[in-house]
Amino acid sequence: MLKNVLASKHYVNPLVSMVYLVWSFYMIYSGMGFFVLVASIAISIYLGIARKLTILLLWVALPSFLILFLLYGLWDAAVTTLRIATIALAATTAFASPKPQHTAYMLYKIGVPPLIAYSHLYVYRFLQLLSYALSEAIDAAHGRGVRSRFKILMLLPIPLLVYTINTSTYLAEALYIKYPRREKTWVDKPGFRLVDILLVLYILTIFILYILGHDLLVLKLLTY
Amino acid sequence: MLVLENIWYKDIIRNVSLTHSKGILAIIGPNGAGKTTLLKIIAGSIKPDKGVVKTPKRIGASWQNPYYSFYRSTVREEVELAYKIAGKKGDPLELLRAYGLERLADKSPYRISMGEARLLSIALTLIWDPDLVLLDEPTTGLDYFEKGKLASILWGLGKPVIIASHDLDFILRVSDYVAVMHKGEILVYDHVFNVFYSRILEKIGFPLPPAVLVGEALGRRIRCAEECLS
Ligand SMILES: Nc1ncnc2c1ncn2[C@@H]1O[C@H](COP(=O)(O)OP(=O)(O)O)[C@@H](O)[C@H]1O
Ligand SMILES: [Mg+2]
Repeated sequence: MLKNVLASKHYVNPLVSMVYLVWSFYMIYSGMGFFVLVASIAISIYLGIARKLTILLLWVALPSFLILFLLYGLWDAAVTTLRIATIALAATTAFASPKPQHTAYMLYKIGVPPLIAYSHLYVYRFLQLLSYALSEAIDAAHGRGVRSRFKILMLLPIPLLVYTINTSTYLAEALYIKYPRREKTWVDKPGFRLVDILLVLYILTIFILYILGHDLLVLKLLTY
Repeated sequence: MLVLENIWYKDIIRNVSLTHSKGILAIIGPNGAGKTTLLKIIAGSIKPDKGVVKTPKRIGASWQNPYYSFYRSTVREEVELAYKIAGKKGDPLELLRAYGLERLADKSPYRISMGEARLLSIALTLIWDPDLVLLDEPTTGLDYFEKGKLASILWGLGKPVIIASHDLDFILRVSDYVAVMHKGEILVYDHVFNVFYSRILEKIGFPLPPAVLVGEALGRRIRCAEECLS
C-alpha cells in the first residue's frame, strides 16, 4: 500500500487539499455532506485507494450504525453513520492526497523547522522500505516451501532484522535529509495541475451555490 | 504445466502469454524489462490486472536477494530446517557437498559471499521438491566454478525451471527455451538456438556471446570451404 506514495503520479496540491479539508468540515457542519461525499469518493478513486478506504470505512461505519440503530432507530442511525463516514472519508482523502515531498516543501516554506517538516518523510520512507522488505521476505519463505502463515510469522523477524541492517545505507540517506542545506533532494515544489483546478472549481461551485441560498440546489433533497 | 494468457500488470507487463511444461526456460532482457515482476506473478505474489494464470500448486523460488530466505545461525542448521519443512530425511553435509558448500557448514548464512548465499538459497529451494522452480538472477555474484556447479545441478534436475537473467553465456549453456523480454513485452519465445541465431538480441542492445560469434564464423568458413572444394 505504501510502496508508491513517494513516486505516485496521482496527487493533489497540498494547498488545495488543505482548502478541501476546511471546506469539507464547513459543508458537513452545514448539512451539505452529500457534496463532500461525492468529492471524497472521486478523490479516493483518483488516488487509487478506494478499495482500501471502503474496507476501512466498513470497520468504522458498521459498528457505529449497529449501536445507533439499537439506540435511536433506523433513520437517525443511517444519517449519523453517513455523517461519520463522510467525515472519515474527507479527512483521509485530504491527508492522503498531497505528495509527502510537497507537504514537506510547504511546511518548510512557512517556517516549520526542517527537522519537523521532514520528519513525516522519514515515516513514509521507512514504512515504504519495511513493507517492501516484508513482501520480499514472505515471497522468500513461500519459495522455500514454508506454507503455514503461523510458521512464516515465526520465521520472518530474522530476515527482516538482517534486512534493516543491510539497508542501513537507505536509513543513512534518510537521516541525511536532516541537514537543511540538503533540502533540495527531498522536497519538491508543488505546482497546480488539472486535478487541482477541477477540485477547486467543484469546491467553489458548491460553496457559491450554498452562499446564494439552499433553494438553488436541485440536489437539496440529498443533503444530510 | 504453466500457462499465462494475455497478462497485463500496470505498465510493467504488457500482454504476456507463455506456456512452459518441460525443461529450462530463460526469460532474458535488460534491467527493468519486467522479468522479476513476471516471476512474482507466476509465484502468485502479484495479482495481474488482467489475464489468466495457471500454475502448479507447489512453486519453489529463489529471489534476487538470497539473504531474505535465511533463518538459522549456521548453514548446516539452515539445511536441516529445509529438510524439516519438506518433511524429509537427509544428510545436510552430503547436500552441501553437491553444491560445493560443505566448507561453509558451520558458518552463518549471513556471512558467506553473495555467490555462496545464492547457491545455498537455490539448494534450499530445491529440497522441498517443488513442481516448478523459479530462479531470479541466479548467476549474479557467482564465480566461474559456482556457475558450473549450478549448471550441472540444473541439468540433472528434471523438472520445469524458469530463470530470469541477463547472463547470456549461462543461458546459452543451460536453457532449452528462451523468452526475450523488453519493456514488459515478450518479443520472441523460441528454442534457445533459434533465439541466439536470430538478430533479436542485437536489436535490443545485447552483445552476442562469444560462443555464438565463433559458431557463426566457423559455419561461414565451412560453407566457404565446401564451395571452394566443389
Ligand atoms: N512495486 C513496484 N511498483 C511499481 N513499479 C515497480 C515495482 N517493482 C518494479 N517496478 C518497475 O517495474 C519495472 C520492471 O521491474 P523488474 O520486474 O524488477 O525488472 P527486471 O527484473 O527485468 O530488472 C521497472 O521499471 C521497475 O521500476
Ligand atoms: Mg529483476
